[in-house]
Amino acid sequence: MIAVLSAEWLKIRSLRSTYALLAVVLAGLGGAAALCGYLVTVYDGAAPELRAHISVAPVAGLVGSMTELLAGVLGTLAITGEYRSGTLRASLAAVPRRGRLFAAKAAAVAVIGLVAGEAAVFAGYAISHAIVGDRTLLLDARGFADQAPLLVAQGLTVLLFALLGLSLGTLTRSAAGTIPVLVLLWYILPIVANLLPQPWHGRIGSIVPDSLPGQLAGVGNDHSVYGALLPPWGAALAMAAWIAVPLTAAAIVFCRRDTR
Amino acid sequence: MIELRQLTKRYGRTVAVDDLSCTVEPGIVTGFLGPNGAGKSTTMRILLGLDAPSSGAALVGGRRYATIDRPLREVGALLDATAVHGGRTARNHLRILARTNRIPATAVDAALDRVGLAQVAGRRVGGFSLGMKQRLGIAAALLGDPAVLVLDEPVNGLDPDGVRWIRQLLRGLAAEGRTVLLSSHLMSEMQLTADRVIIIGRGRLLADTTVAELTDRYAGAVLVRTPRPAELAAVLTGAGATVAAQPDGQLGVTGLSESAIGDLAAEHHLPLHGVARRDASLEEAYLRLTAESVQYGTPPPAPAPAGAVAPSTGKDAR
Repeated sequence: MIAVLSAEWLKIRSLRSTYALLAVVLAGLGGAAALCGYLVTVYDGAAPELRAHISVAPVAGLVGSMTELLAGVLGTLAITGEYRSGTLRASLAAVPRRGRLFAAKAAAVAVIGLVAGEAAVFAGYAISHAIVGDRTLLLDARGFADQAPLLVAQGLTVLLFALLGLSLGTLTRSAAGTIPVLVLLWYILPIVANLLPQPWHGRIGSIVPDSLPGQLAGVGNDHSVYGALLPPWGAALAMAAWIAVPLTAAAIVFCRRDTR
Repeated sequence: MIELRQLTKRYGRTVAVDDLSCTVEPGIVTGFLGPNGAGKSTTMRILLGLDAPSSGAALVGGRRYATIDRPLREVGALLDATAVHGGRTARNHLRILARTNRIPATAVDAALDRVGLAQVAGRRVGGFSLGMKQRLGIAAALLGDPAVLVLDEPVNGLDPDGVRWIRQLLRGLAAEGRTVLLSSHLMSEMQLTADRVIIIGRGRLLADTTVAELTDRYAGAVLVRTPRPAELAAVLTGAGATVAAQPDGQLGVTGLSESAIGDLAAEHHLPLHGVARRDASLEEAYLRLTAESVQYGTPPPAPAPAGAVAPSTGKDAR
């Protein structure tokens, strides 16, 4: 299993698309830094009575949300690249135990999703706080210890999207079929939820992936379109289901399907 | 050794492989032939555990491929040379395969060297020609120093030098006692490379024999040139032969050897200007054997309307 895992790791590491996606995460962090820097200059130049009206949304969540989609694409390409190029035949000839191959691929994608997610979220938090300092323009101005559970949970949603991309990519065998679904879940479903009348606004808004970190950390989802109906354990269950249900379906299909 | 035991694969109502049983022995090169859609690629995919058979079994060294722990060390396969990720370097492509089967990294450079790709090991595969991809696919097959090699159309896209190189490589590997199963549509090449041939059509076994036996079985008529064809034809027919006049005036004789024809002519004082057996090539033997079972062939020329295009799957040219 370790041998197969190291091969899957090398597969991800040996593709340019991986570095391109990680570069976009870095660019996102740079953009967040520029935004904070700009607001700091506006804030410093503003009259004291106007300063209360200047604020910046939690940068860590913003960067994390962007990283979710990029990780989803990375997870998608990890399997659809094999279907498209035909290397899956060679991969399966080398590792005929399909469950083992799929588990190794999922583990490699999970590791990169988790590390990229936590790193991006914590870096976003650190950068925004370093630039803003003690000015009162951050919405997430509570101390680091209070913020840490939310930041960890936001990093976990990046892992969720990475594995969701892998699962959907395995089921559809097509990047073009998977990425729109990811965008739907990532961006469009929250908008739709927001437009729904209550109680569905709150219900749907409380189970879409991006609503889960706030509920998981027990801080709710103020200043957002998301609902907060779930207790932390409920959010943990929902997050586990978003990962496990598609992943199990994909594993079953992957193990049974002929490889044409 | 490879064994197919009553192997059958159905896709819905289509039977791709139909009760196929045969054995591929070590120490020789075995050619695997058949028209497009005959079931060659399906058989090879089942052999490598990529497709599940509907019934029957395909065994390598007495075991199902999927149960082998580090299969690249026992079976080397080239199914589709173009099935490489264009964004990866040749070396990384092989390093990934080597890692899965705990093959030492040194084997990667040795394999690249052996197929003549050492100079381009660090280049991305996307820029490779078909011939270079074939060489990379062969390097992948050789990576684990396997006792069994399964190669689907390995000479496709190779230049004449490359074709000769692979012929010598495969014959050398067989001479070392390995089992070599090779499919190709190039009959002339197969005649030079293979010792035995397994021919299938519509998923069924048509022949499992040596190349020599097959070309002998379909040996052509003996062509006889004589200034007195009518008399000679009568004599030969009387001796039990079948004689057909050829368009160029020669006689095509079947059922008698060259020496028997010469003896009969001498006995009857008939002059002979030439006696020659027209050997059947593997190609002729193959075409006659498979004529009945061609699935996607060219329609017979006479009834086809002008401008008719022969259907083709293009599947094997993928």
